[in-house]
Amino acid sequence: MLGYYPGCTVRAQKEDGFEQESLAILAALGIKAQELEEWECCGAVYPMAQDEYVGLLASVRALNQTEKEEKDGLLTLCSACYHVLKRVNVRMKNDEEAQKRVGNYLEMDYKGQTEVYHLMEVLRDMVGMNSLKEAVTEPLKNEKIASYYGCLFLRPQKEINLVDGENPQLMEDIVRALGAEPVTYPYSTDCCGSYHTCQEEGVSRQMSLKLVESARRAGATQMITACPLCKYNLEKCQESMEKEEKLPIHYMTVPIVKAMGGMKTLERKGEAHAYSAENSSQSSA
Amino acid sequence: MRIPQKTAASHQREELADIIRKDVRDCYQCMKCSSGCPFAEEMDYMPHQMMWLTNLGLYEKILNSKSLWICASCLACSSRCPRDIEPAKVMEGFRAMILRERGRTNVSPVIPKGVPRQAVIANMRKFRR
Repeated sequence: MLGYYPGCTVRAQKEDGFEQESLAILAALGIKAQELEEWECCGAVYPMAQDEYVGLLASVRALNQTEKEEKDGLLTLCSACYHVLKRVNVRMKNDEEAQKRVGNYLEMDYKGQTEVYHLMEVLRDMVGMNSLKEAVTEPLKNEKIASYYGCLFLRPQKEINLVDGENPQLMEDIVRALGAEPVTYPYSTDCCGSYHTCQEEGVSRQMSLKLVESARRAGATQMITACPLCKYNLEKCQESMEKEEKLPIHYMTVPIVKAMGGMKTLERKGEAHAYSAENSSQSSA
Repeated sequence: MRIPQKTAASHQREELADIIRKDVRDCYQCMKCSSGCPFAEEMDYMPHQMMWLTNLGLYEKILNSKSLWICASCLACSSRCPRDIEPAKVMEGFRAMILRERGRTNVSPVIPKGVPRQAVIANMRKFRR
């Protein structure tokens, strides 16, 4: 059983369906995840200043809570949460001073034992692309999907270590498993402008527009991302366009749900899994 | 005529070194950081110039630059730096120096309706103290 960390944005934007869809996909594929009993916002940015420890506290609490609840790892959906939790975990594993200072303050002994997983990592490492392919009932034959990673999943590679930082292929593999065609375009690893959307309006708009235009020129019919902020920026930059001109931006779960037969089918499958798991645990006991 | 400029005091250099724990003197100006930076065209000093100004001790120019607040820490520069200097971290160091002294920057946030919380929080963490 994985611990699940929703994060502030995904939870606040529940009506987007990212959380509900992700958990339904995992349940249908036989992966169980349960929300942590207690969690708080991770802080959204990793504190890069080496002499600052306050920024680590919230994430360490969540990581330690995962261990306390005896979960096999911590699952998160938002790219910022993933980035922050994973990097804090690496820091806690390798930095003795951080262990000491954070440990003293929080009165806990945490040394980076928890594993942090993202949805796509679970699909790759725990489910496997072949099983995902088998679960697809309605292949997305006519879709050309551009995968957008953004900066948070990729860098720094030695700490995040999820995919190849310069030529990531994980989302493309997922798209292929769904029967759709992945689109190759040059900006899939560039930054979307991030929190500059609250700052210099022009800066993030230009950045996002460049990404969208590039994906459109490469022939994409939709773009997928796993970051609520990237999604917002990529949609916002197309605000003034005509409806037909807009490139749809989706969470990466949307095409998966569609290819696996819709939410109703997923929920049914999830219940079947839960039922069989319950029965097998009873018979073994 | 060349006007002599004020260079950074040793306590300022120490403060920066404490925050970033990197030696910027290793930089050999290959410009990989600036060529890959998605924000370079918006900046007044590009990342490699920021590294050079750091080495020259011209902290005043850096602390008053626009670039510091345009960098979004996407880490493209840091991940490509052959000398492992991490320009994004150096920029963060200067931001921290300003924030620790003044508590805030001159950058004023605008919070559009419907913006994800993630952006509001990141904004708060990066530009306020």
